[in-house]
Amino acid sequence: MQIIFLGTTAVHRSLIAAAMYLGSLKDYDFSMLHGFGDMSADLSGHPVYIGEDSDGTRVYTLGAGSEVEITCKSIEQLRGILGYDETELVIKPVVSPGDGIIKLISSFPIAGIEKYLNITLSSIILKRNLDELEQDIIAFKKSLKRERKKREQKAASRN
Amino acid sequence: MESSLKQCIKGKNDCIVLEDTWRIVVKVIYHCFGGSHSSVIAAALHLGLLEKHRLPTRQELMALPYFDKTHDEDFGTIRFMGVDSSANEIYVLGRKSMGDRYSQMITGVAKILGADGQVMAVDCMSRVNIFMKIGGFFSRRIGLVFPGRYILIRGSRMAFMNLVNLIETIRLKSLKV
Repeated sequence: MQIIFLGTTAVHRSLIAAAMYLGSLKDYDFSMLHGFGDMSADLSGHPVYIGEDSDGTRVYTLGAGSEVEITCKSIEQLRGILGYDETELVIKPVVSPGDGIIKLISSFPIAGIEKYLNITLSSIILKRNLDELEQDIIAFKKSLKRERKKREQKAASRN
Repeated sequence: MESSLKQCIKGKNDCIVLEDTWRIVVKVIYHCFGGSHSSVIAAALHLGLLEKHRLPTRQELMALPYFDKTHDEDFGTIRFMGVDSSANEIYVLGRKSMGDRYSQMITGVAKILGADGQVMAVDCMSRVNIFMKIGGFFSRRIGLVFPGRYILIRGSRMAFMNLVNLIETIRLKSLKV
């Protein structure tokens, strides 16, 4: 299975959400997260591979600017058109007020002091509702586990 | 391509087998801001619903499915238009201000699903002129259908040959897969 955390950018809130999901976020020091604030990864438009969990689920992030809802809808439909379902790809939108400002700050050239400002200011904004995001990811993980169990029980009862 | 062939043999991907050769059915997604004008014309040209060698009439454009008939809730919806002569599936999509980044996103998602080469996303906005933008805005955004459609159709006819050029390139690319 693959999971895409879909945010305004692929390298801020969505990256933190992915790191929370994988359990790789230590002490909420975002600057230690590989690729945090690096908009060159976001520019391509391709999903950014973050890592794999213990079940082999591959985790990605993707930035959709101000059109997260529309993008989420399109990707879910594309999944269906290609003959896949939510057992193979799950899209988890992660958006919060302030993400637009983060995207604006991140559009400053990344060099020297600008990069420092980008990461520092983004971190300040992101830390404001980090607990909410953490609860959201915990609930998301639980719902995935529940769905997986349901499918396994269904498969077992068929056999 | 090799992974697509393996998926084809497993029965996962849509494939056509012709005698001893095979090719993957490609999903071509024409996209523009609203999914209501340039993408619909491009898809219609691809499917042969409009003739390439002459400008379409107002009636022919208005008879196209989705042409100047979409609403806000249609943004992000990938809508089926038809199947071309090579059995490729043709879709249209309105993606607001995402730009050609959307093409990268769609092909990137297809790749991580193992459907690399099965999807072709085509940005039609480069072929849209100012009249189509103004006409589309009047008709779809603020609901002034009467002046909007008049300007839109004039603009569509002006952009038509550019769109013909676009779909000819795409048709050739879709045959190569």
